[in-house]
Amino acid sequence: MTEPQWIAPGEHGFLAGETLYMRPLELADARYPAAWHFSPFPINPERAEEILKQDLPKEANERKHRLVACRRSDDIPVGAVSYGNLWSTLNMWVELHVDPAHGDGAAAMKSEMLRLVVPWMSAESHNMVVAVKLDAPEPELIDAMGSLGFRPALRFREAIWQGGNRHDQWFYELLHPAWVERLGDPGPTINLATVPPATSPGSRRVSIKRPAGPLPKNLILASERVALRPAEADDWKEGSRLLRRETETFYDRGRWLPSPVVGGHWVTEAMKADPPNWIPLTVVLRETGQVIGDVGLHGISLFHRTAETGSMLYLPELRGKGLGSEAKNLLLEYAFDHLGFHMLRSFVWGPNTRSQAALRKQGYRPAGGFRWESTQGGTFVDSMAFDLLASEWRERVGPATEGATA
Amino acid sequence: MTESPWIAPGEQGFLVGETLYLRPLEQGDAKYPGAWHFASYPINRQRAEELLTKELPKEAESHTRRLVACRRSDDTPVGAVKYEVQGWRTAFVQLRADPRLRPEGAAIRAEMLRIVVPWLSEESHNMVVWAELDAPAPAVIAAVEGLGMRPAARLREAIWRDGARHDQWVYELPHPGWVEKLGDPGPGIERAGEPPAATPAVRRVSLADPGSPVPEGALLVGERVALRMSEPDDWKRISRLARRETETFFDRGRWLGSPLDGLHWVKESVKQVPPKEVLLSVIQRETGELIGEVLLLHVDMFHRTAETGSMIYVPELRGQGIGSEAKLLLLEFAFDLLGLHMVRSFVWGPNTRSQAALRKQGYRDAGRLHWDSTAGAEFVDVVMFDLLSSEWRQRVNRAEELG
Repeated sequence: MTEPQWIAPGEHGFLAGETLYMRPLELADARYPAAWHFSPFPINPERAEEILKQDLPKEANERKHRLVACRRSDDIPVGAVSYGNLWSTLNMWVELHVDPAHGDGAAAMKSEMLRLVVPWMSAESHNMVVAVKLDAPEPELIDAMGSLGFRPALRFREAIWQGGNRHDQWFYELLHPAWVERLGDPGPTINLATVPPATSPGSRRVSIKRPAGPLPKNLILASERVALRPAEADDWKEGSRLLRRETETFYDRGRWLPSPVVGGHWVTEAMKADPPNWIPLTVVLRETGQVIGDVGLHGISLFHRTAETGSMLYLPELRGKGLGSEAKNLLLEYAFDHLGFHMLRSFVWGPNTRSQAALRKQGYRPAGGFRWESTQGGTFVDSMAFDLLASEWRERVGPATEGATA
Repeated sequence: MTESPWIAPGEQGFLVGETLYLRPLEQGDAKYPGAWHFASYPINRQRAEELLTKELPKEAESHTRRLVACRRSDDTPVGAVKYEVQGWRTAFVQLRADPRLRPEGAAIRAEMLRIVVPWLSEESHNMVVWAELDAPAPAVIAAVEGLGMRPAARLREAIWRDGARHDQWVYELPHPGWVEKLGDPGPGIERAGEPPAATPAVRRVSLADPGSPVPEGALLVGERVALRMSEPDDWKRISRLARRETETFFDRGRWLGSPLDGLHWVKESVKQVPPKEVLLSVIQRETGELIGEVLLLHVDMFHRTAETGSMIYVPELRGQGIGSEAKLLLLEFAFDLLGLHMVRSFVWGPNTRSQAALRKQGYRDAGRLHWDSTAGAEFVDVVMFDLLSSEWRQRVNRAEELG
């Protein structure tokens, strides 16, 4: 229950709807974690109080905020909105949550929350794009999205485990009308999605059962020319120096100069988490034992069995020889066979058509994207999203053979 | 010396100039804190090790990066560039040269700018690149002008260096692709001006003998309001007042902060000695109620400068001079109690009301940074102001004489 004797009855603040109003979190909300804790695992009020006191201010520093939705009739928190300008200050990212106890009423509550916060985020707060993440959305909610002016942006197939079944994850976007008028209507971003590629010549099982010849210590998987092992903090000394020789400028933010001290810190921190959120792996050229790149799984959810993939070859002269695809195929084997992931996703900067082509060759499907997420020269450009299901990949490469993984 | 057996001599990476090259910081740089530690006080190698291991990763998380400039001839670090990427759209650059190389400082800064600015502008697609220049030497000005950068703002006497006060400048480079699309915004400094001639509102508003009621813990008391240090629980009330806001005229619309964020902010800020932030609550004397907040941000006791900010949270109490009274108390606090030399303030371009209030309080237009944010489908500027303690003191003394 909201403890604001200060806000008079009927005076719920400026984000008030027919049955709900939105307000910032207060310490007393520790009694209602199911309303605002965005996790499939329940927590008790003691843990909720700790999160409110310690994690909430950290979230605010990372430009992430939460508003709790309370019922007007009795001031009880029933759900929450998480939002923030996570990347661009012009693009707002929104997630919705409703206390699972409200079951069938969830779609109506989510719709009302969006009706309250979206005009505030779009027209009043000058966000060029408001993007909403919807896990397994109810048909009623999809209808509400349309009436608010949202259009589908992307769909990750089977990314959500809910109620004993797999469901799709959707993202919907609202483009600010003034910007649409100024730049022209780019159309629904979901139009960039296609069916899975019919042929994926680059997708195959490349791991070698009993590799002969030089192998790195702590090996995970090896193919003919490359091997994967867990990243070490010191790998970033090599990575940082190799990236200084980069000749390709075709990245969203140009060439990248990471510090070995910072990269090493990230790796050390990632290794502490169990289960991990990020699995960084180093790509080693078997012949020479040299570090030539990295591949990794980010944003891991063991609950949904999903992750985002990423890969990078540091040496320009080693690109275009299939080494990157070899490393990527090892990563897919590791993710699907070893870790048992159900689906993987990947994001690529719109103008980077080369990486997009590589993903298609590896069997990924264009899943849509996000409009106007960054700039290139004097224009706004999109981000492209891809997905790949374990079932699709397995159909292409065949079943795991015993002993194929180290 | 760069500990890089891998990078062969002459192979210094892609950010290379005539005599310098730029590279990320390495653990070996702990030997050269003078080159990359952006502070007025020297530190030793042990502290430098600690900063590299602990603080650098935190800095990267807040989208701030540093590159160290090494001499091509002997790989010795001599300076550094720190840049903050804001919203993946703009970059704000600061420079440092090792103070031990004083005669070469200007040449080092000029060359670093020539190396880093084209990379941040064209290659990294930053819509605007800003460079903050502390007491720039002619060689540095020549370098930024040669890069096509234009003066955006000047903060008078903001820098204490070599026994004297100097100006701080901001130069900007709008991306040519965006200039073509949106039109040339021109130099921001053109909008800067002289200090306001008439500032009728400026006077010393604190009362030596305020009578009653005076709120507990009051630091300065005016006729209608008093200032006291913010307390963690103040944010419960502020958070609720913010929910009643009727004015939507803020850069990011109305604000809905949690009392828990404010509580954390107050608890952390009071631990700092010397303070980096001073948060003061504005109490209405008559009712004893909190009605607003005034604050000093980025307090720098070396240069004796800070940024001011103020907010009255109760809409019905605005437009009655209560906000100005609180602000004048804050200036007394900044200039008389803390002994600051100058204060600055930034206002969102479309918010002309706050700009007018600052001018009335004696602040001077110091220029503007273009395309810092958006309003509807327009890119809008941030307007900068400065105010010197000497100007303020002259005005309040005159007001007292007229009395």
